[in-house]
Formats: sequence, C-alpha cells, structure tokens
Amino acid sequence: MNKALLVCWLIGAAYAAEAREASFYADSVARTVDEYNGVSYTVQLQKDSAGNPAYYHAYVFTPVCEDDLCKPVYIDLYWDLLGNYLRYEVPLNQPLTKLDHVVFTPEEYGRLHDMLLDAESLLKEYEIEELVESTTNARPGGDVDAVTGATAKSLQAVVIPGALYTCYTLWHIVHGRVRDTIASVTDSLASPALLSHFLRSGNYRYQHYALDRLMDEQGKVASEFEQDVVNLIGSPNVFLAQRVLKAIDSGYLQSAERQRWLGQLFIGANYRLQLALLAKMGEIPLKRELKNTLEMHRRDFNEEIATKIEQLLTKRS
Amino acid sequence: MNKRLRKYVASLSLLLGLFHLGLAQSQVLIEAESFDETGGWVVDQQSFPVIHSSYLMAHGMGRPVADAVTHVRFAEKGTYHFWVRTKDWAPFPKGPGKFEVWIDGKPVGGVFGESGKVDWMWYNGGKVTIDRDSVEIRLKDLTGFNGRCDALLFTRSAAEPPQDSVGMASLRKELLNLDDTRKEAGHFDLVVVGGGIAGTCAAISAARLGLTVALIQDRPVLGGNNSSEVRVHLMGDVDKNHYPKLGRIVRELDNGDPGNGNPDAKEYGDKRKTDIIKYEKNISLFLNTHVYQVEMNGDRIAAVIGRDIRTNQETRFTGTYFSDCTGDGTIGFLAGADYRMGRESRAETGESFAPEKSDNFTLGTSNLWASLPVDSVTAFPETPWALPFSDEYHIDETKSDWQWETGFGNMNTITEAEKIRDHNLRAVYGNWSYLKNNKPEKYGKRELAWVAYIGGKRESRRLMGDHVLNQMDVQEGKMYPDATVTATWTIDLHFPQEKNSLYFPGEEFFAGTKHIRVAPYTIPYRCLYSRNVPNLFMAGRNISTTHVAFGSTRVMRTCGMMGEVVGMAASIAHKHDVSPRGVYEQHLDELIGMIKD
Repeated sequence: MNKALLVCWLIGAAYAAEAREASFYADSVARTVDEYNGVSYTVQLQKDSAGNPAYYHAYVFTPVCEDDLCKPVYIDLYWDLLGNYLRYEVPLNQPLTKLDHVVFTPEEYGRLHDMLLDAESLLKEYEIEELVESTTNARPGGDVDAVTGATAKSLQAVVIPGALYTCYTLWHIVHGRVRDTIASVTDSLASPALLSHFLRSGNYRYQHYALDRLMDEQGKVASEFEQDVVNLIGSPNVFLAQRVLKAIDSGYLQSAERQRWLGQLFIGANYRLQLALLAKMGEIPLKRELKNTLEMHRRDFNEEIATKIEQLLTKRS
Repeated sequence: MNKRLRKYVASLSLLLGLFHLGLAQSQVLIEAESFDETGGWVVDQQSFPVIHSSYLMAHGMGRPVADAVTHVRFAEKGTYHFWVRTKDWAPFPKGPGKFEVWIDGKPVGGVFGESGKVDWMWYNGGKVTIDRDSVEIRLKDLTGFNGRCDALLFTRSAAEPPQDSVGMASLRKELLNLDDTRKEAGHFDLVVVGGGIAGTCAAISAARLGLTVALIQDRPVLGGNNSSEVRVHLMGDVDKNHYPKLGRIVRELDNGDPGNGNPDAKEYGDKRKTDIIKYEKNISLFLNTHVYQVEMNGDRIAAVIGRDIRTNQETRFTGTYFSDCTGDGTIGFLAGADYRMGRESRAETGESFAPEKSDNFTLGTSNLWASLPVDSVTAFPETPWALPFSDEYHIDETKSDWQWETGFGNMNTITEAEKIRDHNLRAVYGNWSYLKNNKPEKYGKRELAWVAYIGGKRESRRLMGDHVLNQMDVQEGKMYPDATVTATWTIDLHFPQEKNSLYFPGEEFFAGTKHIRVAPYTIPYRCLYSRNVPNLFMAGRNISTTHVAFGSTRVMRTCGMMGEVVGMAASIAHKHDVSPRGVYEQHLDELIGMIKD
C-alpha cells in the first residue's frame, strides 16, 4: 500500500504505546466485515515479535454519501484486542475532506480521533436519515429537539462542521459490526498465556476481560493466576481493585505474607479502598501482625475507620 | 458597613443567671461572615435552615484564598478560652478545608478543619490572653479547598459552648442581640420572598400594576439559578403562549443563552436584572437577606423576618399578601402551608410516570463548573479526600453541563443541602484532579475557571394549592377556565445515570433523563396560591404540582411567567380586598382579562 503516514492518533494506553516500539506482523487470522452501509473490508489480527496478539487493523475504503453525492474515504483503522478503537491513519494523497473538498485541518483530525474514541457518542442514537433534520433544527444553545432533549449536547457540538457524514460513517464503522468480529476472534485466542498477559497489562479492559473468564462464582481462580489476580487489589484503578476485593475468595488472603501486604496497602489506600479492605478483613481470620498494623494506625484516619478497626480487633475469630 | 453591627460583645452577669452560675464572665462572639474584610472567602447561607447562620468558606478551587480580616474590641482585657466553630467538610478520611486563625499576627489553636468529623462543632483553640483594647483577627486559608468557619468565641468560662444548633441559635440571638436591633422595613402590599426568575417577575409585575412591593433575596444577586452564581440557562418557550402577553417581563430579564455553566459570569446578566428592579419605583429590594421566620395572624401571614447574611442585621417585613418564590417553599413551610416533597404514588395520582409507592425521591442539585485554556502547563493537587477516578471511569470533559447533579432522594435537598453541594465538589475536584494529573496532553494547559459554590437546586417542597397540576393535565393539555401560563418543556425527570450508578452506587453525581415531549399546555391559576394560608401566593418550582408535572413546569422562563401572573392576581386581590382564592372565585374574568390584554 503506497501511502505515507499523515495522521496517526495514538491513545495514551500503555498497550498502544507499545505498538510504536515493538515490531508487529500480520497474523493469518483475518475476518471479513460486512458493514451497515454495504462496505466490506478485512480486519486482521496483528501480533508482536514474540507472537502475542497485539491489536487489530483494517484498511477501509468507504463511500461517504450525502443524498446522491458520494466521495471516497480511505482510512486505516486500529482496534485493541477487545474491539475498542485505538487510532486511525489516512494516506497523504487521500486526505479527509469537508464540504466543497476543503481538507481537514490538523485540529480537525484530532477532533475526529476524539470523536471516534467516544463509544457513547450521540452519533450512536441517530439513523443516517435523521442527521439533517436534527442538526438544522438544533438551535444555538441547544433548544428542545425530539432526540437529544433540550439540554443534551446537540450533534453540532460533537461533529466536525462540514464533515457530518464523514464523522457519522466512520464512527458507525469503528463502533459497528467489527466489534463483534474482533470479540469472537479474541475469544478463540484466549489462552492462559494471553489471559495472564491481560491481567498484568495495566489495561482495565483487558483485566476485566480476564477476570470474567478466570474467576468463578466463589471467587476462585486457577492457581497459575492466583498471584496476578491478588495483585489487582493494589491496582491504582480503584474500581478494579474493589471488584477483585469484593469477589475474591477470602482463602487467598489468609497467609501471613498476603496479610502483611494488605496491611501496608490499607495504610496508603484511598478512602474507598480502605473501607473495602476493612470489609474484606471482616471475612478472614486476621493474623497478629495485621492486627498490630491496624491497631497502630487506628487513629490515623477518621472515626468511621477507627470504629471499624475496633470492631475487627475485638471480633472473636 | 456599620462596624457596630458586626461586633457583639455581651457581658453576662451572674445576676442574669445565664450560662455558668457563680462566675462573672464575658463572651465575645464573632460571626465569620461579619468580618470587616472577607478577603477571598465567600459568604454561604445555604445551610441556614440547619445551622441558623451563614458562614465563610475558602472557595479557592485549590489555591489558598486571601485572608479574611476583622478587628474586635474587647471590653475586658484578660485571658479567654478561645473556640472556633467549624467542621471537616470532607472527612474521607480527612478533608482538605484547613485553615488557621491568627490573632495579632500569631496563629492560635493550631490547624482547624481537618478533624475527620463532618458535624459543625465548636473546637477548642486553647487560652488566649487579650492585653489590648482591640485585636486583629485573620482567617488564613491553607488549601483553597473550601475550609469553612461559622464563628469565633472568646469566653471567660472554661465550659464548652453549646454544640447543638438550637443551643447555638439561642446563644447567637443573645450575644448578637438580634431581637433588640431588628429593623422594621415597613408595610408592603406584596412581599415577595425569593429573587430568582419567578420572584423577580412577580415583583416587577405587581409593582407595575401599582402595588408596593418588597423583593427579598438571600444572595447579593438576583436571578437564582440563572444568576452568575449558578449559571443555568433559561428554558421553556415564551413564544407559544395561549396568552401572548405573558412572558414580556421574562424577556426583559433574559440576557441571551450562554448555555449552562458558561465560564463568563457576565453572560448571565446579573446587572441587567438588578437594573430593571432599580428603575421600578414601587419595589424595595432587599438583597443578602435570608427569611427564616414568619409571624402569623390567625392562619394569615402577618410578617416575615429576614437576616442579613453578612451583617446579621435582622429586618421585619409586614404585608397584605406574600409570595413564596423561594424554591424551597420556605415561607409556606414556616407558615404551616400544606406541602409535598418527593414522589406521589401511582395509586394517589393516577399518573403513569409515578412510582408504585410514594417516596422521597427528588431531582438533584447541580454545582456547575468550567475550565479555560491557559498559556502554560499548570498543576492541580491530588485530592485523596474527593471521589476517586481512574482510567476506567472519569468524566472526560472540559466543562460541566446539567448532568453534574447530586441528591436523588438519597439526601434531603433542604436539610442536607450542604452535604449535597459538598458531594458535588468532591466529584468536580476529584475528576479534575484525575484529568490534570493523568491526561496532561488534553488538560495540562487548562485551568478551572469557575466552580459554583451555590448549588443550583431543582426540587424540594411543592406547596399545595386549590389545584394540583398532574401528568394528565400536562399531557392532555387540559384547558381549565383559570388557565394562565403556557408551558412547553418536556416532562424532564432526572435520574442517576446508569453508568454513574455502577461506579458510585448511592453516591451518584451524574444524571440522565428521558424527555417526554408535551404539546404546549396551560397552568391553572389555582396552582399559584396556597390552599390553606389565605394570603400566600407562590411562583416558581414550588407551585402546586405533582412530582411528575413539576418535571415540566420547573424551567425558568415558565417560572417567570408564573411570577407575572402572581403580580397581576395580587393587584386584583388588593383592589377588591380579597384573598388569592377570592380572585379565582369572584374576579377570574378580570384576571384572565388582564392576562389577555
């Protein structure tokens, strides 16, 4: 494919950043996606040099049509292993254009990326036929209209002026049928090695995905994943940490070493996690060392925490 | 400002038998909001119904604000026990609202505001020796994160001052000598309490029809939710009116549509609103006055008493008619008017959108905010006391809109207004801190331009009138003989947004809604006066509706038109010496004629 890199919008996620450093190659796994507007393209898994699944790529050619007037759009699209949009590229000699063939400004390329990143964009709610009416009816300041309601953001605030149909078409491709296609491919590839990689990835989507597959209803996991799952309790992502803490089988938290770790985690954790840790500690027999840690820090926080610690310390095990 | 009013030194003798018997003592109570100079601290009266006072707050959006300074004369030199009335507003586990009190250039009593306790309390600052007639006191904010101080107390007694709000209210009354210094504002044909859009329109409408009007507002600006302190835009149409005359005053007040939470305060036209009132010769405007008491004559309201939110000077207003435009239905509540709060059951109202069982659910309160681009990268502190965010969940926006909202029945929008506002602040600051520290490419060169410390409240009490507007009235467009205001807004009932509930169950701060479209419909006049307090009108969000119908009537252009109608009805009531109900029963043609004219 003869094209230079005109725009390359990388998201900040660690995994995407990796993509710039390592070398990648196309895997044989490829699927055809038949999109809503009749466009058909191939999405292909890319692997890193070690042979691990890395991301998905598709080169897409699609017409963007307004009434009977169509223009071609050429674009490379990238998704993560769960079908979340990562970035796009367009060929230097085929820039994106707005009305009257005015090419996108650098800022507008950035806006397009931001718009594609938003999986909950207002564009999701619209059928293509509704676009014109909705945008022309939306009054400055966002007056009442049937779809968005009065104070919701109007489409005009979301899309790039003069490129409504380009935005609409690309958003619906990026967040369209390809997501299911990617999900089914990744599901078929979800080996223990990949799931282990997911747990350590720092990418909350991958981590939740792995947990969904690895943890049973009792909060138990296969022993090879145990430490990686326990480690997530210390994740800077408090929502993930809380999920694991709540669900995990308390049997995993009974060793002296793990309890020492929990105690240190408690001292530095944010309030929400502190409360979750104390609640979990209520489910397990506490070792002397953890009790000592709690006793030592009982008065460092607030009354609620002091009371909860008191309850833990006086509880009959 | 009269300094005499701001310093209250009460010497209480043994013979008076007050407080601690056996000791001659003196106590000096200094209300923080009455400091000579409030510096960068702001006056907050929103918790008056709970703590019976305003307080000062260091609302610096993370940057310490300038000192508040005052000078206090002491009748007696000597050693005093020093107390500071404050709280830790975000004890999770310890809040950021830290400040010091400096007396004559030295900090006294350590750091306040980080106790880990959320209740307003007196904190002991130790003993202080006063060896001069007058001392300078400074409140030194340490963080810019909403530290707050209600009052300072110097007392000769070692006993703890009253901690409860009732005991505190009587101490304040005594030491500030509130009863003996109260002013009489005089008698008015119509006393309008609440200077939001509804109250302002009611005052103008009545004044232009010849009534003498007192307009009382508890903030320094008019406009309520549409003022620069809250920044909600005006909604509801005025161009689809059954009676096109209505909406004229609303149009005068309308400063254009800057959207919600616009960073430019001027867009909301505070000055326009005040100027319009100032040119009305029949209106006496009382800003900064919070009405907290009514005097009854039988079942009628005889007078209301307001307190200046800064000086604490009290003023009494007598009137023939009163209009409750407070939003909270404060006057009706104090006068014993029938009211509702929360949702009615489906069985009670027959409304399809009503819940099966009645409950305390309300729409929430918004504290809007906005950021602006700046030239260089700036820092914002970590906020461990705020709500936590992560890459998995945060709100990736440079400014707020109406969705930033707390208080969906999990907190009472009147008695827990401070907690609701503070929850909003914890959401705003926690999210902003996350964005600043984790998304530098987008937010590094942006700064918070404005965060509202006055909550934009949507729902609290609804005062009951002779008619209670309901969903069927709204959806079927019933045209009653006393139809007045035409309303056009959707039935717009907010709920916690689903995703927000998932991450913050019970602590939601982000709303969703479903707009249920309605054809323009009319609001009967009988929704605009109390059914059991015979000289009480109401306009605004506290009129007589069900929760569901309120979802549509509550927007401000519609509320303004209610005010216009109340002004007209008050003039007819006054002319014929009848009650608001008397206007409906005996002079409805005249009222409709006036609206049509």
